[in-house]
Amino acid sequence: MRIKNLLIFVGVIIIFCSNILFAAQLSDSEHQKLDPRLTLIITNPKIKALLFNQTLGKASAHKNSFNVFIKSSLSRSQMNDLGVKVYSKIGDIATCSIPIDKIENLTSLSEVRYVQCAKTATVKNDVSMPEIGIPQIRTEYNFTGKGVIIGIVDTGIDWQHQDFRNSDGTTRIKALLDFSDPGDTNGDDILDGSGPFGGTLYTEAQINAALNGSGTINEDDVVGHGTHVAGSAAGNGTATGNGVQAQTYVGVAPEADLVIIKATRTQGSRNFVDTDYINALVFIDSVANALGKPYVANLSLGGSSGPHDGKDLGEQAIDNLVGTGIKGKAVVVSAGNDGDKAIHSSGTFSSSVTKYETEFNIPSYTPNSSDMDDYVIFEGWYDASQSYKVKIFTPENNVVGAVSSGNEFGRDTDEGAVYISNASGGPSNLNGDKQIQIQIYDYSIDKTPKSGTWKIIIEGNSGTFNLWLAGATMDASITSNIDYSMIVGTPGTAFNAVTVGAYITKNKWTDLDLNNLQANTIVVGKASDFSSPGPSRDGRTKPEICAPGEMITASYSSDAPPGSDYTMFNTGISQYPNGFVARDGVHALSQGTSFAAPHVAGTIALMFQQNPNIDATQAREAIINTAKSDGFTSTVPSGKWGYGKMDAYSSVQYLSEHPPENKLSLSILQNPALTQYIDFYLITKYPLQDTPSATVQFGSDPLENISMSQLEEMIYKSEYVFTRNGTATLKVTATILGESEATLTKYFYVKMLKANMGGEIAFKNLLLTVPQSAISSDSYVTVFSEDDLTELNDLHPVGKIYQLSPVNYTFKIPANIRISYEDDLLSEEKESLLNIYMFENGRWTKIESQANPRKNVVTCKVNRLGKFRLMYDPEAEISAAKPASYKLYQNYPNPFNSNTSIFYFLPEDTDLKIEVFNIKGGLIKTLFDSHQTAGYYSLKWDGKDLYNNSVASGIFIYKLSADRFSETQKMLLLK
Amino acid sequence: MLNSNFFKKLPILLFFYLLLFSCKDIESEKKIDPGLRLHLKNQKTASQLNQPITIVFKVNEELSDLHIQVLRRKKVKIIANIGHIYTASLPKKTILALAKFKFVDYIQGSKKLKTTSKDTTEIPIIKEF
Repeated sequence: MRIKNLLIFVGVIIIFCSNILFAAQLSDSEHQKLDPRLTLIITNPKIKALLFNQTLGKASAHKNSFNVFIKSSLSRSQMNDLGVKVYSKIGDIATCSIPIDKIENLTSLSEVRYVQCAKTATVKNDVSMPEIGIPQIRTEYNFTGKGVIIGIVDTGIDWQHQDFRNSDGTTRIKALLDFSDPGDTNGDDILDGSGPFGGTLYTEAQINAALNGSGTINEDDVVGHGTHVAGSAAGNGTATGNGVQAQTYVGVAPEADLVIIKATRTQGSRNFVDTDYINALVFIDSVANALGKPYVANLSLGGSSGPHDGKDLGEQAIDNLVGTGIKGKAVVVSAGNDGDKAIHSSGTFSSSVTKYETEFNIPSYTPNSSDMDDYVIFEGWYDASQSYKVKIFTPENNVVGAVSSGNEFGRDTDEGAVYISNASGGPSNLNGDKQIQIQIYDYSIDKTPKSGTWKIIIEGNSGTFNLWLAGATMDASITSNIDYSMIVGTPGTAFNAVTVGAYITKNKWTDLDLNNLQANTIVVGKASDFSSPGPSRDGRTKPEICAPGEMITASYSSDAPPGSDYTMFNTGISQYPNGFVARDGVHALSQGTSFAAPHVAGTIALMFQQNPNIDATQAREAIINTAKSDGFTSTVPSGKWGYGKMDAYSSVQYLSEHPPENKLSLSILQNPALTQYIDFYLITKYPLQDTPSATVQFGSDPLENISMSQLEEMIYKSEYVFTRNGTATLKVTATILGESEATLTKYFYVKMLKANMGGEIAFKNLLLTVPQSAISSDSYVTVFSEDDLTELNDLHPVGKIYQLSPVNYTFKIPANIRISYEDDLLSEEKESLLNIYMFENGRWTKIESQANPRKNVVTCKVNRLGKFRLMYDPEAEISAAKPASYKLYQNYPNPFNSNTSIFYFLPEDTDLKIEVFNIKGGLIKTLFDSHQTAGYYSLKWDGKDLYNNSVASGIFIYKLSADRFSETQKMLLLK
Repeated sequence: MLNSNFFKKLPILLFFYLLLFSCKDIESEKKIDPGLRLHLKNQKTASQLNQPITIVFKVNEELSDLHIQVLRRKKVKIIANIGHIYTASLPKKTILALAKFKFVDYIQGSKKLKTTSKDTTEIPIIKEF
């Protein structure tokens, strides 16, 4: 052993000495140009293997080329001539691969300043989560997003991916809505399909069935974007391979539930239509409402069309959905990736500056095949008090305009049609500002927008205009009077959305082929060049926050392998075809504000787990107030960084230390004897600037102003007298000293029940039926609904709370309450456990109720009015995980037209067959034939036979055959 | 070349353009975003005007069942709403009629958006030792 060590020592000494001898062969100037490690390798080939094996990694040991940076004035082609393979070149720095024997020759050239070995560093594969403090949250708070829904509106999801499955293999996806199947099949701009708003809806049960091999889910994510976004927000890191430890790539909220909307209209598309994201948000809201859970929706999408002041209608829809006082709901939007693009121009007029010229370039392009499909669109905005003139010069110097304020003008030229609307008709109803709309387009196939330099001239005397390149079918860009601020996209300027920019946390990784790779041009800690900066046009800080957005490693869609038609994981470099697929083969890397946004969405999910009754404003305040700043962010807030780098751990800690308070609350008291009188109380924790104002509005009737008076120092009161039935809105507006105005809103329904007549009151999902002799005098009954997402007594709420007033109003004989819930969103066993609960003596008490899972309703009898809601007890769920006996229910609906559901219970594991026969006993179709475990099940029949042909109307028999049980039922198909 | 179809549809076209231009209702037109307005002007045939389009519009009061019935009669199919913002589909020729309703504040054509990810082929990557 000692002899062996001695030989190794002598060997190293010989190598070291020979190195010194050979090194002397390089000139001093060549030495100065070379990284010392390269000097060693060149001067002594023996040391190459030693260095590779001991320090530089074995993967490249067999090769005779090195990856290097070369700083020189040589062109790409000159370097190629010298035997250097150039990968990329930015200024005078090139990334290259060079054979060992060419290095000496290269360094002898005067044009070459320095050759640097690509550096070896510890490969950091999973840095974005520690960067924002997620491991600390897990350790100290154990928040994982449990009980919270994350809605992803994106390109779809690889629904089979292990990262989105529970430990028992079942899916974490509560609902999957695919707008692209079948999409807009006839091109009429309307989504086809049977799902809500079109498309195809898959329930949790259907996904689980497909995971078990029965049933089909046609949805996929051939782009990989949506899967990656979902993985960053909520992947649980279970998926792994190639010896990589599981949990290496865990998302922010690994136990959150998922609602996925594939919102693209065609397979492989990365484009969306804004009306679709509005519909998608409505869908997420309805699922969350049905499941009684808080949610955060992630929109990693955007565009530059819109007023950039939060008033675009899509943005207004977001503001209606989330915001102050709306508990447990939030929307996160990516800022956009146009930060380094010339898409915005602006100017401020004065007595000395009365004209701005904005040039833009239309490059050479291949026109599309028809007319009206090649275009460039500009949108501009200015204050309504100003009047500007707009004209356009074509590349051939033809002029269109000037168009003065309030007018529009269009002209078909040989260089394309030019249309200018300059606040035609006056200020826009959208936001009260004046809008400039410029469109250059092909009014016929041979009159396409001409390539070359175009010029937009805007003239005025005072005020400011902003002009955005809002859309183009070719790669057009502004070339003069460029303004790189206010680039943040739409819907990123929505007031109540949390908008997210990107910064760099990683630039090195190992790919699937075990290459240690680096993105050499990006600097860890810096804001991403592409991250779209704000502020909004109305001066608000947007984006509010930056989060990790480069080289993010998250769930990889198996539908989008590199080289496939629509994948986003191509490298464009033949040596590293799998360069963006992580070593484990089930996660991948990508960059963009798209992947920064889900870090924030996941963090808000953790906050909602912490406190489901905070609203989007409070979540945003926690994020803003704890944002980090450093040498990279410099002074914040700023257009690029917002308030800085997100610190999720500190945000959660902030919420613990500063629990949000309801500074203003609104109470309503209806007189139980004289039921037409209702009193409103506004209770404030802080002094108000002045007396609050209140309005009541019935339907679309005119607003009724109600005066309020101060009852006590912090309490204001108002009265209202009911004179009619209907749906009404009560609004109370108040301003706490030093704060901005706040409005509290209550929606309610009121109806007078006549003495000895009873009647029905229906509001949202509640129906109250009062029997004829239950009341002895005419009485107004009101119904308010409210959200409260707190889980009390370990009960799971489903839907809203309904407050029926006057509270404690007593019936002579019991009235009936029926509450319905959303179809297909609760599992069969949970549906069977639903009960109506009443709030009394400070807690929720169960009322004996009848659940009807087929009709999605629960009913109960009540003796008095009060606060009611639908809930289920998970403890009962465990004890009732297996049904007590076999059951085959009557199908629903019955009779049916297009399809019907068949419900059945299995108390034990069994081989099972469910078949449909015609009235003569002929087999029509086998709906199920396999082994099935004990549980609650349903399946659908679409009225088609074995051969997928629709059957004629008539009576059909369905039969359930288990090992120890058999039963039949009849159903009626009507066409 | 003009075919006989053109003459058959001429009255419909004339009627539409009469509605759109001759009896110009500035207040109603102002409710339509300029991009959508231009799109409508560029519809050259009756069949193009009959084609449906998806829009988002804002109303100034809660829409009752009666409102929705009236809209349905105009072939406006409401898809979803968040507060006073509604998504809907309707024939292009109906947009001006929709804008004429007092309860309608603004109509916006649907806009194209895209994912906010960077093209990975633009990322210069190199291999380390």
